Amino acid sequence: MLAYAGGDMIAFETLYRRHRGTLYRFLLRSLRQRADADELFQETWSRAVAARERYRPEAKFSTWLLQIAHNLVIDRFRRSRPHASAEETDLLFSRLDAPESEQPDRVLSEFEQRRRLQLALEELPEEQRVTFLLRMENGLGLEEISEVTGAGRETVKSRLRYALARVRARFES
Amino acid sequence: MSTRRDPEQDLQQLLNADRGDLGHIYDKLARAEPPPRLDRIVLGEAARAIRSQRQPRAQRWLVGFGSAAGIVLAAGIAWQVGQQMQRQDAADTSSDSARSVIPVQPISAPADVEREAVYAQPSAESVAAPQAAAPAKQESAPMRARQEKPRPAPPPAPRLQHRHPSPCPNWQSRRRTRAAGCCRTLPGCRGKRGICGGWHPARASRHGGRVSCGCGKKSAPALPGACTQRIHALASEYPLDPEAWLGEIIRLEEQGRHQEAIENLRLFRRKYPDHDLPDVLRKLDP
Repeated sequence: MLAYAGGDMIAFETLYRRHRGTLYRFLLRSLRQRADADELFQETWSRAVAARERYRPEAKFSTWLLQIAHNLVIDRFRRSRPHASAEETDLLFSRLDAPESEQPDRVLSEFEQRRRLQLALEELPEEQRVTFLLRMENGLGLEEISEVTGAGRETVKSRLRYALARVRARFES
Repeated sequence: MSTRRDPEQDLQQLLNADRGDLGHIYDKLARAEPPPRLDRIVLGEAARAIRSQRQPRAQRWLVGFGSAAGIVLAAGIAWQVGQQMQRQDAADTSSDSARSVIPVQPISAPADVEREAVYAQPSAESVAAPQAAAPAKQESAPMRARQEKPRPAPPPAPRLQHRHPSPCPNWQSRRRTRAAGCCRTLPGCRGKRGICGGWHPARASRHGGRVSCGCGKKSAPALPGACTQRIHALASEYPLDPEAWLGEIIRLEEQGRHQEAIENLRLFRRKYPDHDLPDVLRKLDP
């Protein structure tokens, strides 16, 4: 990023190729809407480009980039309509899971595991979902997640614990 | 997946490098990629940002270069305009001089001899004309052909001022009639062009009361006495034969140019105070 700030466009292209996928998936799974993900993906990179002069190498570029993206995601959450209530979500998932729930001893296929994980991610509360995605998609540790989200380390740990429990519950339902 | 797990152990598995079994499942999720449209947009924006970052430097360089070029151009134009004005002034002055000058009246003997020699030498046309006018005096064509040898090329035509039929300062030409009446006699003025500028009221007023002699030697105040000073100055530069000068003064008096004769005589007395004057001029001597 320092090279790009100095005018090296190739350095930016290298950064972009390296981080474009993880950022896009983080946004897509956080927002659950491709249009929103596209919009915030572009906005994240725009802000990174605009803030290139302020970038300091003390932080990893991925952490810095995800911090921008996380702030945008939180803003979008706040502006978007309220999500469905927990009861509505349970009802939705109960309908979706009905066939499998009728066969509790059935070993979940790989496809089904992916689908359930996907549904579990969408079901998670926003803060837990973002924290869980930062760990699963971007491989950040507790300290880095804390840095990106601005939450304390124990808070991050608690959000991860709750998110994990919900996902497990969805798998075991 | 259906067995009960210890949440703390499950979290530790999640925080491990392989993220546990959920990590394996997560990695098998569809790996969505941004569409190429977004790639183009982002990369284009980044490139524009870099270009806009470079442009101000180029603009600063351009501003500096443009300012320097503008200053040089303005200085050049100003210099050109100044030179042009100077040339125009000089041209005006010279044209005024050229319009108002009249032939000088050379009176020195060598000059007269030279001029007479020039006038006496017939030109090519003047030589051919008498021959055509008097064929009877010519020999027959065969005889002439036998006797005639190739003649050398005729000498170049003398310059205009040397071919002047009369050295009178009142000599008029088409271009010099304006000043002819104002020119004072300038005995012995034989400048480069052999002509003398006279005093002209209009020209004097245009040039701040000063006029210049056509021979380009001196400048004199444009007053009726100006020619006197100019004559005096020129007379000091061109020593005259006293007798020739006196003869010229006598000729001026005979031509009725009494004032000029008096001025010449006064100058003559200054230059040759002990020279005897003829009786004709003694009455003019102040």
